[in-house]
Amino acid sequence: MDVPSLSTQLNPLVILPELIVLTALVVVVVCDLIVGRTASRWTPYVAVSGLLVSVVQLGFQWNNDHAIAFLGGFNGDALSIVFRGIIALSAAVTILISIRYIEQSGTALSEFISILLAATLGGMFLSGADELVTIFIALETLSISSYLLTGYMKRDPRSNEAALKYLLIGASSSAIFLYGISLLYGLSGGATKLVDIGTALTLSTGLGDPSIGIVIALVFVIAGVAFKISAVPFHQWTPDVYEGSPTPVVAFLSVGSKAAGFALAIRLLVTAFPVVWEQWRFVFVALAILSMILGNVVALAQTSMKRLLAYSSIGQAGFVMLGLIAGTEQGYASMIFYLFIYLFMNLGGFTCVILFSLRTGTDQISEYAGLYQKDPLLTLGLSLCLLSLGGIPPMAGFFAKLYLFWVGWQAGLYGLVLLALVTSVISIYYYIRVIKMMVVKEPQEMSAAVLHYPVVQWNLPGMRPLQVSLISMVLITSLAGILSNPLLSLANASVSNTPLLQSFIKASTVSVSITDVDSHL
Amino acid sequence: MELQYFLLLAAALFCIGVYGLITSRNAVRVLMSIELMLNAVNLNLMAFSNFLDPGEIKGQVFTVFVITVAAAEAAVGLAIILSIYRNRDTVDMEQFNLLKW
Repeated sequence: MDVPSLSTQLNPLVILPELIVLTALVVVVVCDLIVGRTASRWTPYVAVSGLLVSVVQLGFQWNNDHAIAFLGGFNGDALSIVFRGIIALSAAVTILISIRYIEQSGTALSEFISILLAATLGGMFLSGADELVTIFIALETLSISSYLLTGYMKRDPRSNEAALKYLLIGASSSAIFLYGISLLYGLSGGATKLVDIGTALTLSTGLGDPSIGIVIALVFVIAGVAFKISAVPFHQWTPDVYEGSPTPVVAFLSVGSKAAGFALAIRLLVTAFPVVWEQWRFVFVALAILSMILGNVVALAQTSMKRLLAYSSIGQAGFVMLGLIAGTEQGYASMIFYLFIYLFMNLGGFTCVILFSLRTGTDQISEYAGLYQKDPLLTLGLSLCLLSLGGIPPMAGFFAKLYLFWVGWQAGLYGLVLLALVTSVISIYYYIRVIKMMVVKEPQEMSAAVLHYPVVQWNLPGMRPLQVSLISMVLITSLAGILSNPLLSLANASVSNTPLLQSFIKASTVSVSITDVDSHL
Repeated sequence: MELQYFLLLAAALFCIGVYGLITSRNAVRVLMSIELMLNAVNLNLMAFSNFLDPGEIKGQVFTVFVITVAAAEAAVGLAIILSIYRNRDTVDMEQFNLLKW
């Protein structure tokens, strides 16, 4: 086979954004080796610009008609482009907020950045993976890099412990996921492409009930996916890992890694499991109910800011699942829109938490008391991000939640939407509690950490990027709600440009109308 | 030989792995249990590949990938266990209780 025909078959240009990230990763590693420690002054910016160029390149590929690459192994459709964009953006912001944190902790910055870029690569490949082996390798690239990042503070026993727990739970959940995948390979008669598996399962099931094997495979696969998006009851690792690991890593795990999990969930369930649509929808209803209740209720009792954000992220994942359960075109669009807004508000919140812990060395909520007197900018930023996470108008989070709940209501999920409303009221309580702590306290009630608060200095090395990301995240969080039209049309266009979602929505609405007719007869 | 025997063996191995995962107190033994689970997956894949997909043997290729990734995972796992042993002088899972609510 000659080179041109091979290259048209493989269509490698689809993964150009990933190749750009990979180049940035190699440049960071090699330059750090050659130049030495002084290189860490500019390697973060190489990584960030690589990620941003990759996002721009993703934009150029928006209307690509030949999206399938590597003989069906990778699908660069609009859905994958949006998710890859979210992951790359979250990695870029994470690098900006990690520079000062890593330097202050006395560990090597370039290694941190290269592992983070590897995790980003895994997440980006996972969003587009369309074949079992590719899915597995991408998932493990993301997971193993995340274990390493979690244990990055190797002198800190808490970081060690978090890494060990994450590794053991993560490895066992990926083994369970893999067992499900191996069953899928057998049940489909030896197919590894998701589309082929979907057709084979549909053919073998016919009009009858799906076989028990398919349901077992489905349950095992969902266990693996639910671990990645930290849905209850697969969430036990989340609070421990969030508390123990370095804060910038938590920021990436809560946005980038979670977005990759949702991308995997959509693609895998929609492409390979249309036969057991009713069943996986039912499982996700249960996961969403449990996540919303447990995440938001347990968050009430937390005293550590990082644990609070961990439980809040479990609750938020429950809200996002609403869109997946709705299964309509707008359902998927609202999920993507919510994840975009969540990216900005959650990373903004983590930026503030990092800034506070850099200046005071603590994450306890009680230590935030009276912060308003000493650092108004940090107080304002954290308040706006938390209000947005709680869904208070006119912040971006309100509009994202509104869209999600409205779509759920349209799809007839009345009970779920009511539950989501109740739990988001609960969530407002614990977000407001932090804000009240910071703002209302009298000067004499200040905590010890705030009393000895250092003078605010932005000219220390690594503080400028932190300031830039703080201000830009807070600005976007407060303005993206009112000016949400571009994001909203992007989310809608990504769903309507994705063939696999379109065909699935058509098929599922047909089957729903058939069951309606059946019930009327 | 029939396909069922292989699948039963793999399922049994997987269950032993899950049992070890739940009951072991030593972190290294937990890691070994996970390896057992991955090997059950490998058996499954090999059996399916020989019986259902003898032409393209995609399952065998998959198995090679699983073995490779399992090795990487074990390496990272042992490194983390080593660093926790240096800090805490133990690998007993029940001693790791710094993080809890």
